[in-house]
Amino acid sequence: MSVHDVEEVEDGDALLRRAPNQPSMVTRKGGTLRPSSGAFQPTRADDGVSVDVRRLLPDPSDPEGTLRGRLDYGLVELLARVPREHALDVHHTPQAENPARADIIGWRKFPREIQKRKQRELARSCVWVREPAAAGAGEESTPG
Amino acid sequence: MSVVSHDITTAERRHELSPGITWVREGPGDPVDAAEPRFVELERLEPDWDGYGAQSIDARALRAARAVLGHPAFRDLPAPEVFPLPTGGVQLEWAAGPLELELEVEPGGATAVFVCDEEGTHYRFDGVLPADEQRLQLALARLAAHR
Repeated sequence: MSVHDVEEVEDGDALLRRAPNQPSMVTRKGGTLRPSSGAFQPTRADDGVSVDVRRLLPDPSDPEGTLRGRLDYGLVELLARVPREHALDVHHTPQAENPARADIIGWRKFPREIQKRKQRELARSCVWVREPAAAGAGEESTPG
Repeated sequence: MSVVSHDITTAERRHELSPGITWVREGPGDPVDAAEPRFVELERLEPDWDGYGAQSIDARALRAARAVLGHPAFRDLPAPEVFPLPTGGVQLEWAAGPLELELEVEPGGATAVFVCDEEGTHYRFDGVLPADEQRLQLALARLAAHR
């Protein structure tokens, strides 16, 4: 099993995060489709929100490869400087099966309502690489 | 589409979000009915539903979220969107005019976090429950006024 070198995530690096479609984690407010802030909530297990660094993908020109077969999911992108502007950080945390993985970290030093506001700001800063399939449309294939 | 009937017993109709704060569901026809299909969907989520290791949704958080929608303070609001959270909590989101309110019911159902802001102004109403209930009431009043 190869070990990937840990790289510096630059402010201008694009970070990719999947937006589930079943259940939908997408909201439309004011005519704008965006992920719910909940899509940027760290799990209880650790302090990180997992993303993929586009530059470090096996094929950076194919960001939808990060969907890993979940063809009805949406995919959003934001620059690494955005969480850093909100006093969070982004660390490259490569795994054997995912050399592009990184984590947005540093949430737990903030009160819970401040964490939620930061999640909200990240969600509002995203742009769609791929919008999720319409509700009920799109078939899930076996994740690759 | 059939909707699973949530048979609320007399004991379950009164849910204490925390000591001193009681949310009472009045019965059929209240706003929780509109959200019920979504609550049922969330109940059925398996772990890792988001592909990032999310927890399944905490039953007590679901009960508390249902009970929140039955509270008189929320009855004048537009129907919320309901989202699962990776930690196992439930998030309710309302929007009316320039205002948006997010209320996260945390796993366990006894505490909640909320953020509310009004586009174009500096108004922000953020806090945690039960400590910041009055601030939430202010947010609800502004939201209802824009309905």
